[in-house]
Amino acid sequence: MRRDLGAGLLVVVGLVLAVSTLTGGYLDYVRPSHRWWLLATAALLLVAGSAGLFGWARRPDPDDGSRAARLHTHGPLAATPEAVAAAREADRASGTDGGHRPAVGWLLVVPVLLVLLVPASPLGSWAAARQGPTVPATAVTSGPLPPGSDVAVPDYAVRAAYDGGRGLADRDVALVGFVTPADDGGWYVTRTAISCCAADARSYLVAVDGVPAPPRDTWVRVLGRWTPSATPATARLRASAVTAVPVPAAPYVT
Amino acid sequence: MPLGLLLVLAALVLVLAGPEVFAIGVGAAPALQTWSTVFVAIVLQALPYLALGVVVGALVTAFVPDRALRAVVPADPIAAVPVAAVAGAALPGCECGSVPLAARLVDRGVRPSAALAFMLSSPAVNPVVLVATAVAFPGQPRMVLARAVASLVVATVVGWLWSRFGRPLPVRRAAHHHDGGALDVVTHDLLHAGGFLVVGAACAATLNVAVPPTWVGAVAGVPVLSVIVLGLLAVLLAVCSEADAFVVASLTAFSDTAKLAFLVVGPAIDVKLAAMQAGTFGMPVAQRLGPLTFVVAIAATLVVGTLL
Repeated sequence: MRRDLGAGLLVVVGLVLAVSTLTGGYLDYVRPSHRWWLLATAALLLVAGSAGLFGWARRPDPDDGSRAARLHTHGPLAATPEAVAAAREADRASGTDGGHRPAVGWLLVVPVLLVLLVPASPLGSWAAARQGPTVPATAVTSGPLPPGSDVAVPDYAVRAAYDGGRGLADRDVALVGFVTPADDGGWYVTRTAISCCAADARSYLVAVDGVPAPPRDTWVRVLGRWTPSATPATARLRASAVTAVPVPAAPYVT
Repeated sequence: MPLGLLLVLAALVLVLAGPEVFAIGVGAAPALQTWSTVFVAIVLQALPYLALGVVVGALVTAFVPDRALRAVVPADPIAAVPVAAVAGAALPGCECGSVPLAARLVDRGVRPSAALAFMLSSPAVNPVVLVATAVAFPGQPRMVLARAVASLVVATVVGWLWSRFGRPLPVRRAAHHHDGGALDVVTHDLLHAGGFLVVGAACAATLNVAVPPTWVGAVAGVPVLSVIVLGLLAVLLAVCSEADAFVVASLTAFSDTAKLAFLVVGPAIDVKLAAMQAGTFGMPVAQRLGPLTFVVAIAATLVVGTLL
């Protein structure tokens, strides 16, 4: 890779990082607190790339170029053919003939194009259905339920699946999540939890009784009450009302 | 106009035009969409840690005098390896930054076995990761202790074995001793390690989408096999070491020793790291280092899991 193209590529990656972070697009991929790491990285890429692009950091560099190129091949100072061959070999081994940048860096274009060209979409019903309705057992101990009716789907699911619904019975709860269709015609209100990024996602599915399934992957707010589930380690809710809601800015629970 | 500027301008047009204009219709293929999301997620997650490792490596290359390095790393390999493993605790974050930093340490003349020990231990024993492990396993400080001890053992044993039987690591010193200072090293290493990060992230995202999450459940009760299977799962999924404890904590059917295998193997070797090691140290080194690390990590897990 030519040096100026390498510098330009760093600027491009830095720009995409900065735009994705500032517009909130990064929330489809990583946790919200990653924001500062991403901004710092974008700044570094922009500085390093611009420096290369505009020659801020250029010094008079007697060694700019390969070892072989610095040897005389003619005239009284000519090196022996063996010495030239050895220098060429050393250049090849160190991958620096001509002061180029590593060509593998071009691969950074792939995530850039995916961020720019593929419409952003957080993990949805496809990933949730693959995992299945068994609630991931997090060791987080459930304290008292927060006041108000809004409960996070993972919180509800863990209490319902592993705590016998303690604290949930006879209370109106509201769950916000997306729709995952079930094999038997029913559906689940679903939320995905991540710790760092979408690669470590766990889906929490709560089966919804009493209301027909909305379209797949639409975001809904489900009002209802806890009801026991026949299958162990799964969660169920008897719904009284389902309303469509806009996709939240932060689609994952952390 | 220089080509580099042209590249930046082209990207600016794409950014301003917005994704909707250019949107390609992958919405109909949820598996592809999921792959894209997971792939970009791994790159965005890892890039800052990689940049941190690259910057520290560049600072070491440009500013730390040989004398200082010699004073910190003992000359005797038997002593240097465990010292480097413990020093790994000083680099916060995930595993991606440790590979380019280890390469720079080798360039500066640090013994390869010591640099490898640092590379293997730092993603597992730094305070950020240990705190995350404690949060994922509340009331089980044994898990945090076991993780730290087992990872230090793995780094030390692999380092010692490498100093005795391993091949030398390639040194790039001649290529970079002379050129434009720290910023130049940063640019080179970001492009180099970043490119291989993309390869590794693509592998990990593919396996993430292709491996059904339930396939490991069948062996949960089998003593040694379950340990090996969760170790393999850690290699395939390439979950960042800050998050792996949360992923494995939800696999309740498995014994604590099997979960420990996931925590000990993952930060030391996975598909993403293997791709970066192959790019940084060359294929022959990666082919030996990866399996060696895996076997030592499983053995260390079994020993530490039995003792603690």
